[in-house]
Amino acid sequence: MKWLVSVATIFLAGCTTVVPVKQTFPDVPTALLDRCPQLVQLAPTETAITDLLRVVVKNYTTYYECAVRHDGMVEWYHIQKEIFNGANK
Amino acid sequence: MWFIQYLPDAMVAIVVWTICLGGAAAWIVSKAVKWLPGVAAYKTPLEIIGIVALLFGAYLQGGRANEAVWQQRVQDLEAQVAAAQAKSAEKNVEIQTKVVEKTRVVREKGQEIIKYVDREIVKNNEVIKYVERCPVPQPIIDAHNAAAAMNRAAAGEQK
Repeated sequence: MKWLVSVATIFLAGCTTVVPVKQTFPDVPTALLDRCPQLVQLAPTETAITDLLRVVVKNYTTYYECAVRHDGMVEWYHIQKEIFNGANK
Repeated sequence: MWFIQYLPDAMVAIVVWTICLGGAAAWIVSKAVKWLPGVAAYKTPLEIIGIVALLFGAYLQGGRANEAVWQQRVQDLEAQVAAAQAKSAEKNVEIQTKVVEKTRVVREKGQEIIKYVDREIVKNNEVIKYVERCPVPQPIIDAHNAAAAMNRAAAGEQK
């Protein structure tokens, strides 16, 4: 009986097959990993309208830089997901 | 069969064909020995051995064929993964370059505007009069600063 069980186990093991192919999702480009910086605030001594204008322009610039990185991240994810899923078909 | 992949294919082929042909030979001999009086007693064992060997050989042949199919699938999948990785790396570089360029353009545009403010706007007579007569009230500065720092308030609330 023990012999029969051993033989049956060996034969059943023939049904297992492992496909040794691994696919890993790519790393994000470093340019997209920069965090968005803090917005600039007005100092208490800056009371001129032109000072306010400079700060506003700097903050708009910061926003648009951050928006470009975010859009890039979204585009990167969609493209890489499509490539990753396409390889498994 | 998982163990077949670790053995040389030629060796496996020799063993499997030996079993098949040996089984066939044993079965044929079992049919021939009935005419030989001295060895007729071995007819039944030879027949059984021949049939068992043939069946086992057929099973092993199936295992070999299955292993070949799986190995081909592994190779195909490896090729697909390699192609996908190459395309992925290419797209990575493309997107990174695009983002770096766009960020540079935005930053330069912002600096240009600030330079324009420093060069032209501060020298405009109307602006000079306004700046002298109408400083920005403190509540407006405070509200502006609160808006610029609202993400810190949000981070504080999350904690």
